[in-house]
Amino acid sequence: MEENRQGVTIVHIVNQRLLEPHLSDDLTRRLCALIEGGALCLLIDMGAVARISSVFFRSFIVAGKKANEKKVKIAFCNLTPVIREGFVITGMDKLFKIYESEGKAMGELGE
Amino acid sequence: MNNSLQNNTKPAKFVLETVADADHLEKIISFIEQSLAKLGIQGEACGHICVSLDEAVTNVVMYAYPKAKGNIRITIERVNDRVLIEIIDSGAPFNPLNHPVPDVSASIEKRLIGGLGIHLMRNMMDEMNYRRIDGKNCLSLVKNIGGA
Repeated sequence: MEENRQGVTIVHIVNQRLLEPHLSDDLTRRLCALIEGGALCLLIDMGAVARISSVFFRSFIVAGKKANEKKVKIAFCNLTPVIREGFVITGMDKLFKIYESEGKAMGELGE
Repeated sequence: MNNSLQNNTKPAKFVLETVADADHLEKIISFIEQSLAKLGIQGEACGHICVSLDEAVTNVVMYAYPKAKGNIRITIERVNDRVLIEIIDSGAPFNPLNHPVPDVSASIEKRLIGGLGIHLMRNMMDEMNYRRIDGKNCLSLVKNIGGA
Protein backbone atom coordinates (compact mmCIF):
# COMPACT_ATOMS: atom_id res chain seq x y z
CA MET A 1 0.00 0.00 0.00
CA GLU A 2 1.46 3.34 -1.02
CA GLU A 3 0.62 6.97 -0.44
CA ASN A 4 2.25 10.17 -1.62
CA ARG A 5 2.71 12.98 0.85
CA GLN A 6 4.89 16.07 0.72
CA GLY A 7 6.96 14.65 -2.11
CA VAL A 8 7.55 11.36 -0.32
CA THR A 9 6.17 8.01 -1.47
CA ILE A 10 5.38 6.08 1.69
CA VAL A 11 5.34 2.32 1.20
CA HIS A 12 3.44 0.61 4.00
CA ILE A 13 4.47 -3.03 4.24
CA VAL A 14 1.37 -4.77 5.53
CA ASN A 15 2.74 -8.30 5.95
CA GLN A 16 3.50 -9.27 9.53
CA ARG A 17 6.05 -11.80 8.33
CA LEU A 18 8.39 -11.20 5.42
CA LEU A 19 9.72 -14.72 5.09
CA GLU A 20 8.38 -16.31 1.92
CA PRO A 21 10.95 -16.06 -0.88
CA HIS A 22 8.41 -15.37 -3.65
CA LEU A 23 7.16 -12.30 -1.77
CA SER A 24 10.65 -10.80 -1.94
CA ASP A 25 10.53 -10.87 -5.74
CA ASP A 26 7.17 -9.06 -5.60
CA LEU A 27 8.63 -6.44 -3.26
CA THR A 28 11.70 -5.93 -5.45
CA ARG A 29 9.48 -5.39 -8.50
CA ARG A 30 7.21 -3.03 -6.58
CA LEU A 31 10.04 -0.85 -5.26
CA CYS A 32 11.85 -0.77 -8.61
CA ALA A 33 8.60 0.17 -10.38
CA LEU A 34 8.13 3.11 -8.02
CA ILE A 35 11.70 4.27 -8.67
CA GLU A 36 11.28 3.88 -12.45
CA GLY A 37 7.91 5.60 -12.18
CA GLY A 38 9.43 8.85 -11.00
CA ALA A 39 9.32 8.68 -7.19
CA LEU A 40 11.91 11.00 -5.68
CA CYS A 41 11.96 9.59 -2.17
CA LEU A 42 10.69 6.25 -0.83
CA LEU A 43 9.92 5.85 2.85
CA ILE A 44 9.39 2.19 3.69
CA ASP A 45 7.19 1.82 6.76
CA MET A 46 8.01 -1.46 8.50
CA GLY A 47 5.65 -0.91 11.41
CA ALA A 48 3.55 -4.01 10.69
CA VAL A 49 6.53 -6.33 10.17
CA ALA A 50 7.45 -8.54 13.09
CA ARG A 51 9.76 -10.95 11.28
CA ILE A 52 11.87 -10.63 8.16
CA SER A 53 14.25 -12.94 6.33
CA SER A 54 17.44 -11.63 4.76
CA VAL A 55 15.96 -12.63 1.39
CA PHE A 56 14.09 -9.33 1.71
CA PHE A 57 17.32 -7.46 2.44
CA ARG A 58 18.25 -8.44 -1.11
CA SER A 59 15.10 -6.69 -2.33
CA PHE A 60 16.15 -3.53 -0.51
CA ILE A 61 19.72 -3.72 -1.86
CA VAL A 62 18.53 -4.27 -5.43
CA ALA A 63 16.11 -1.34 -5.08
CA GLY A 64 18.88 0.69 -3.41
CA LYS A 65 21.20 0.14 -6.38
CA LYS A 66 18.48 1.31 -8.78
CA ALA A 67 17.62 4.25 -6.54
CA ASN A 68 21.27 5.25 -6.43
CA GLU A 69 21.41 5.31 -10.25
CA LYS A 70 18.27 7.44 -10.41
CA LYS A 71 19.25 9.70 -7.47
CA VAL A 72 16.20 8.53 -5.51
CA LYS A 73 16.34 8.39 -1.70
CA ILE A 74 15.21 5.30 0.21
CA ALA A 75 14.62 5.40 3.96
CA PHE A 76 12.95 3.17 6.54
CA CYS A 77 10.84 3.79 9.62
CA ASN A 78 9.17 1.91 12.48
CA LEU A 79 11.59 -1.03 12.70
CA THR A 80 11.25 -3.40 15.65
CA PRO A 81 14.38 -3.62 17.84
CA VAL A 82 15.40 -7.02 16.47
CA ILE A 83 14.88 -5.97 12.84
CA ARG A 84 16.85 -2.80 13.50
CA GLU A 85 19.62 -4.93 14.99
CA GLY A 86 19.55 -7.04 11.82
CA PHE A 87 19.95 -3.86 9.76
CA VAL A 88 22.98 -2.88 11.87
CA ILE A 89 24.62 -6.32 11.71
CA THR A 90 24.28 -6.45 7.93
CA GLY A 91 25.33 -2.84 7.38
CA MET A 92 21.94 -1.94 5.92
CA ASP A 93 21.88 1.02 8.30
CA LYS A 94 24.87 2.44 6.42
CA LEU A 95 23.08 2.15 3.09
CA PHE A 96 19.71 3.55 4.15
CA LYS A 97 18.57 6.13 6.66
CA ILE A 98 16.44 4.66 9.44
CA TYR A 99 13.89 6.74 11.35
CA GLU A 100 12.24 5.89 14.60
CA SER A 101 8.80 6.91 13.33
CA GLU A 102 7.00 8.05 10.23
CA GLY A 103 6.55 11.48 11.79
CA LYS A 104 10.28 11.94 12.35
CA ALA A 105 11.00 10.72 8.83
CA MET A 106 8.50 13.10 7.27
CA GLY A 107 9.94 15.94 9.34
CA GLU A 108 13.26 15.48 7.54
CA LEU A 109 12.24 14.08 4.16
CA GLY A 110 8.95 15.91 3.47
CA GLU A 111 8.86 19.08 1.39
CA MET B 1 5.94 -20.61 32.07
CA ASN B 2 6.63 -24.20 33.19
CA ASN B 3 8.05 -24.16 36.71
CA SER B 4 10.46 -26.98 35.95
CA LEU B 5 11.99 -24.75 33.29
CA GLN B 6 12.26 -21.83 35.66
CA ASN B 7 14.06 -24.08 38.10
CA ASN B 8 16.39 -25.35 35.37
CA THR B 9 15.83 -28.95 36.35
CA LYS B 10 14.25 -30.70 33.35
CA PRO B 11 15.24 -30.41 29.74
CA ALA B 12 12.39 -30.04 27.25
CA LYS B 13 12.52 -30.82 23.57
CA PHE B 14 10.26 -30.25 20.58
CA VAL B 15 10.69 -31.89 17.17
CA LEU B 16 9.07 -31.22 13.80
CA GLU B 17 9.71 -33.11 10.58
CA THR B 18 7.89 -31.89 7.50
CA VAL B 19 8.26 -31.14 3.80
CA ALA B 20 10.76 -28.38 3.13
CA ASP B 21 8.87 -26.15 0.73
CA ALA B 22 7.18 -22.77 0.74
CA ASP B 23 3.76 -24.36 1.30
CA HIS B 24 4.93 -25.66 4.68
CA LEU B 25 6.65 -22.46 5.89
CA GLU B 26 3.61 -21.38 7.91
CA LYS B 27 3.56 -24.73 9.74
CA ILE B 28 7.30 -24.48 10.42
CA ILE B 29 7.05 -20.90 11.68
CA SER B 30 4.17 -21.80 13.99
CA PHE B 31 6.19 -24.73 15.35
CA ILE B 32 9.16 -22.45 16.07
CA GLU B 33 7.03 -19.80 17.79
CA GLN B 34 5.06 -22.29 19.87
CA SER B 35 8.14 -24.27 20.89
CA LEU B 36 10.02 -21.17 22.06
CA ALA B 37 6.94 -19.99 23.98
CA LYS B 38 6.55 -23.38 25.68
CA LEU B 39 10.25 -23.34 26.58
CA GLY B 40 9.82 -19.93 28.18
CA ILE B 41 12.16 -18.14 25.76
CA GLN B 42 11.32 -14.46 25.55
CA GLY B 43 12.65 -11.06 24.62
CA GLU B 44 15.90 -10.50 22.76
CA ALA B 45 16.97 -14.16 22.90
CA CYS B 46 13.68 -15.21 21.33
CA GLY B 47 14.14 -12.58 18.59
CA HIS B 48 17.67 -13.78 17.84
CA ILE B 49 16.62 -17.43 17.69
CA CYS B 50 13.64 -16.64 15.44
CA VAL B 51 15.81 -14.64 13.02
CA SER B 52 18.44 -17.39 12.90
CA LEU B 53 15.89 -20.17 12.44
CA ASP B 54 14.08 -18.19 9.76
CA GLU B 55 17.37 -17.91 7.88
CA ALA B 56 18.31 -21.56 8.29
CA VAL B 57 14.84 -22.79 7.29
CA THR B 58 14.65 -20.43 4.31
CA ASN B 59 18.02 -21.73 3.08
CA VAL B 60 16.77 -25.31 3.18
CA VAL B 61 13.45 -24.42 1.52
CA MET B 62 15.16 -22.43 -1.25
CA TYR B 63 18.26 -24.48 -2.00
CA ALA B 64 18.35 -27.96 -0.46
CA TYR B 65 16.04 -29.70 -2.91
CA PRO B 66 16.27 -28.10 -6.35
CA LYS B 67 14.84 -31.09 -8.23
CA ALA B 68 12.53 -33.00 -5.88
CA LYS B 69 10.72 -32.52 -2.61
CA GLY B 70 12.47 -33.44 0.60
CA ASN B 71 12.08 -33.10 4.34
CA ILE B 72 13.42 -30.83 7.03
CA ARG B 73 13.69 -31.91 10.66
CA ILE B 74 13.92 -29.25 13.35
CA THR B 75 14.70 -29.95 16.99
CA ILE B 76 14.45 -27.22 19.61
CA GLU B 77 15.60 -28.08 23.10
CA ARG B 78 16.21 -26.12 26.27
CA VAL B 79 18.81 -27.41 28.69
CA ASN B 80 19.14 -25.08 31.64
CA ASP B 81 20.19 -21.71 30.22
CA ARG B 82 20.98 -22.96 26.73
CA VAL B 83 18.71 -23.42 23.73
CA LEU B 84 20.00 -26.16 21.44
CA ILE B 85 18.67 -26.26 17.90
CA GLU B 86 19.31 -28.80 15.17
CA ILE B 87 18.19 -28.50 11.56
CA ILE B 88 18.61 -31.58 9.38
CA ASP B 89 17.90 -32.06 5.68
CA SER B 90 18.85 -34.66 3.10
CA GLY B 91 19.43 -32.14 0.34
CA ALA B 92 22.49 -30.93 -1.53
CA PRO B 93 25.56 -30.60 0.70
CA PHE B 94 25.78 -27.07 2.08
CA ASN B 95 28.12 -25.98 4.82
CA PRO B 96 27.18 -22.44 5.84
CA LEU B 97 30.41 -22.14 7.82
CA ASN B 98 32.33 -22.18 4.53
CA HIS B 99 30.35 -19.20 3.28
CA PRO B 100 32.53 -16.07 3.04
CA VAL B 101 31.78 -13.23 5.42
CA PRO B 102 30.10 -10.46 3.39
CA ASP B 103 31.60 -6.99 3.28
CA VAL B 104 28.88 -5.16 5.19
CA SER B 105 30.76 -1.87 4.91
CA ALA B 106 30.66 -1.83 1.09
CA SER B 107 28.83 1.04 -0.62
CA ILE B 108 25.53 0.41 -2.36
CA GLU B 109 27.30 0.30 -5.74
CA LYS B 110 29.68 -2.43 -4.56
CA ARG B 111 27.30 -4.32 -2.33
CA LEU B 112 26.98 -8.01 -3.21
CA ILE B 113 23.52 -9.50 -2.93
CA GLY B 114 23.44 -12.54 -0.69
CA GLY B 115 25.24 -14.09 2.26
CA LEU B 116 23.56 -11.83 4.80
CA GLY B 117 21.43 -14.56 6.36
CA ILE B 118 24.42 -16.64 7.43
CA HIS B 119 26.10 -13.46 8.69
CA LEU B 120 23.01 -12.75 10.82
CA MET B 121 23.04 -16.29 12.24
CA ARG B 122 26.73 -16.04 13.12
CA ASN B 123 26.10 -12.79 14.96
CA MET B 124 22.86 -13.67 16.73
CA MET B 125 23.69 -17.19 17.92
CA ASP B 126 26.45 -18.16 20.35
CA GLU B 127 27.51 -21.34 18.57
CA MET B 128 27.03 -22.65 15.03
CA ASN B 129 28.28 -26.04 13.86
CA TYR B 130 27.83 -28.09 10.71
CA ARG B 131 28.31 -31.77 9.96
CA ARG B 132 27.50 -33.86 6.90
CA ILE B 133 26.38 -37.24 8.21
CA ASP B 134 24.94 -40.12 6.17
CA GLY B 135 24.05 -37.85 3.26
CA LYS B 136 22.40 -35.27 5.51
CA ASN B 137 23.18 -31.66 6.35
CA CYS B 138 23.15 -31.24 10.14
CA LEU B 139 23.27 -27.66 11.34
CA SER B 140 23.49 -27.07 15.09
CA LEU B 141 22.83 -23.71 16.71
CA VAL B 142 23.18 -22.77 20.36
CA LYS B 143 21.87 -19.70 22.17
CA ASN B 144 22.87 -18.93 25.73
CA ILE B 145 19.86 -17.29 27.28
CA GLY B 146 21.01 -16.37 30.74
CA GLY B 147 17.92 -15.61 32.74
CA ALA B 148 15.46 -15.40 29.81
